[in-house]
Amino acid sequence: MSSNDNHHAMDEARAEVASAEALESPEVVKAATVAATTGPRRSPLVTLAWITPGTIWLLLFLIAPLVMILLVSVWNRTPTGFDAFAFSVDSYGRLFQTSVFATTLRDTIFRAILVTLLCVLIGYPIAYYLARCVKAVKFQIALFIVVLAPFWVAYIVRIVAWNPVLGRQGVINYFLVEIVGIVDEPIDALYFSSLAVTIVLIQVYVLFMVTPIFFQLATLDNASIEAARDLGATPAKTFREVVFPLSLPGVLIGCIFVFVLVMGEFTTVRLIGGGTIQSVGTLVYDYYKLPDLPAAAAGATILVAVMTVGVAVLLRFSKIREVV
Amino acid sequence: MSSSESDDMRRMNRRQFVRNAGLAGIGLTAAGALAACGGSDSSSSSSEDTAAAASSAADAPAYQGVLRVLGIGVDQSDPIKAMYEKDHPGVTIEWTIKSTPETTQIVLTQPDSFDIFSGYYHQLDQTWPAGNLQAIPTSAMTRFSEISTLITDGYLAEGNNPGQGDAPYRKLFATDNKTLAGEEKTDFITLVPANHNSDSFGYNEKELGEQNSWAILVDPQLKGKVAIIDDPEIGLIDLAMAAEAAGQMTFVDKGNMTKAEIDELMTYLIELKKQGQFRGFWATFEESVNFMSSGEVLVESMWSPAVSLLQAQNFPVRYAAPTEGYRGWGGGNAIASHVAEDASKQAAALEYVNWWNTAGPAGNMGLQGYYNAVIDATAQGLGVGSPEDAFWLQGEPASKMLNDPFGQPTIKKGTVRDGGSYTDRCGDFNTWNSHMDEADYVAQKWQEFKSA
Repeated sequence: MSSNDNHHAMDEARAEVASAEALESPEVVKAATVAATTGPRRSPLVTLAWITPGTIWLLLFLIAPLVMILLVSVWNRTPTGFDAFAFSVDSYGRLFQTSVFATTLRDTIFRAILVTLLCVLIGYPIAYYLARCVKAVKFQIALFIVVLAPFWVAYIVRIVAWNPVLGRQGVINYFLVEIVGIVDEPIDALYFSSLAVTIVLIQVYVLFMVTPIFFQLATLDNASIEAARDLGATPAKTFREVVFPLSLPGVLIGCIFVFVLVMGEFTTVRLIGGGTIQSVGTLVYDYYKLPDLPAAAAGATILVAVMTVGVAVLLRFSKIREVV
Repeated sequence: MSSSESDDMRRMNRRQFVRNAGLAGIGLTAAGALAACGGSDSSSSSSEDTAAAASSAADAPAYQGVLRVLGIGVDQSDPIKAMYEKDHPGVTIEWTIKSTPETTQIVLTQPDSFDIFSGYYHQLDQTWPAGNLQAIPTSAMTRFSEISTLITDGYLAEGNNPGQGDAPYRKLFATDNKTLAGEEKTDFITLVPANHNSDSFGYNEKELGEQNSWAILVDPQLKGKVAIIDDPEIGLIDLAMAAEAAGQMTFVDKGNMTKAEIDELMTYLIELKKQGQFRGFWATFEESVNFMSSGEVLVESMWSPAVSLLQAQNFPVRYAAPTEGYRGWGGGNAIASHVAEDASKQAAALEYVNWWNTAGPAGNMGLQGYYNAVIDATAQGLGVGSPEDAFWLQGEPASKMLNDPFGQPTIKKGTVRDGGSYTDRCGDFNTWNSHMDEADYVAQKWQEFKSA
């Protein structure tokens, strides 16, 4: 069993201990650890039973639709949908007939990278504070629930609520025009703009960054941090050399979440962009409405391909960091 | 929950077109695609079969069950459903509400997923050739002789301008389940005509004063204060009328532009967009209301109930009566071809499409400013000679506060309907919502325009 699994088992054991405060002796932790790491070997049949539901689920709801989309993208378009088994790659040609798709794809990738980076910058300190600075578990949980608060409101409401903030008659413009008076006219670029879309995407998705980093930091082995201090590392150096590298798996998972979600974004872009900002998602929807299902499927295929490359790059990057 | 809250919720249900469509849209691509495999040639019964089905339907046992109605929600509200189910015990109405292009898509690719299609005449060029909707014999219609000449002939009074594009009379008659008859009158119709209206643009009267020319949409003085509906079959026509009114260009037929006309118009519009003329493109009813009420725009494509809704909240919005003529639209109900296989369901479906020309639903829609193809049905529904009739149809000042069909006070005492009476508002059309021969090209250019 790898050391990673060992860590995991210890984490679980520790969580149990935390929830049952009476059982805080080291012996209990040790016993739990031993139990978790030396369980009886399962028979292959049991393993098969465990993986079957998940496999069926993935085959039906992930693999099958993806294969279907890929197939539709290379079938011929007809007025009523498509001609199955009449293969052509015209749909991809139609996407690139004008520069709109290529430009939008570039902008979507750029936006996804930007939002992901900003989510790390904003999300990491929040996660760090929650996990390392708040000592009592109950305060940690309470504050984490506060962080989750936006999720208590419907997604659409969270988006629409930006109108009175960023709009022409919103709080920020009111402040700039009426109170500070540094501009004569409200700034239009604050809403129905690329800037607005970026701001709102960060707000909507930053939690997908905070959560995995928080869990990673909360379960860090304190012994390694104490060791660093004992060896004379400053807090900054401890963070740089020990805490941050150990939290990278959380950052990586957060980056994958945010990158993939923002790449596929449709509703936020549509509503906050006021119809003037496009993403690959909105273009696919346009083709779907036309209806040009093969071109919509081709757009979706390209989107999935780009996401896959993005995730692969992230995973590769993390491997390099682990080796170093 | 207070009664006004529940009314609000009902109102929201009615208006959630694209909200439903939004996220489901992309996912549906695959589902729609699957259905298309088996769906495209499933129904090719001729009009003779339909006629036979229609006549034999009369002898069938009364239908007990669900009628699935596909539409965009304008005529699909809880009060309408309740009214129908009360009059027809044993029949349950099930609404499927999507955006207009999605309903087209569903008619083409999932023809068995609905029984009734509540659609628009400008969708028929695209949907009718698929053979998924029945040509209905005029003899099966209960009030065919009372249908307004605006719908059957293109004008209310001799000499009225019928307007360009997909006016109902150009798409009403069918040769069979797959062929439209154009302006030639036959014994079969496509959509049994239900609602129609004259649309224009809404504007902030407090900021702009009275405005009655489409040209305002492209007026550089309103840079950044204009929004357009995000549907080229409607929005591009608004903009074409604007460009023509502003003297920028002329068209042979704005309802079916040539490639050269599309290019010239789009070059002009993209230039305007780059200069910041257009603040946004709205996709849902609520968005159009929010754009105006939040002050993001001062003028935009708008629908009549959106204007009424804001006026009821004392927002200074007016609905223009354009000197160049209105943009018209007309809709109705068609029966899916597969329904003919079940005689009792066929009878129930015919009953449903005919029911739309009666006072109940016509009055409900009339309180929102829509006209029924049998205009007497609207008058009867509003109450002949009532304050509602006087306001909505006669163009007279409201003699008291008038409610919308959901019970919300909407029209203040003393208000006069913008554009006036039924005959005034339906006497002068510029262009109708239209599906062009070059629709693919238009869609491509529309994308470029929105992204510019």
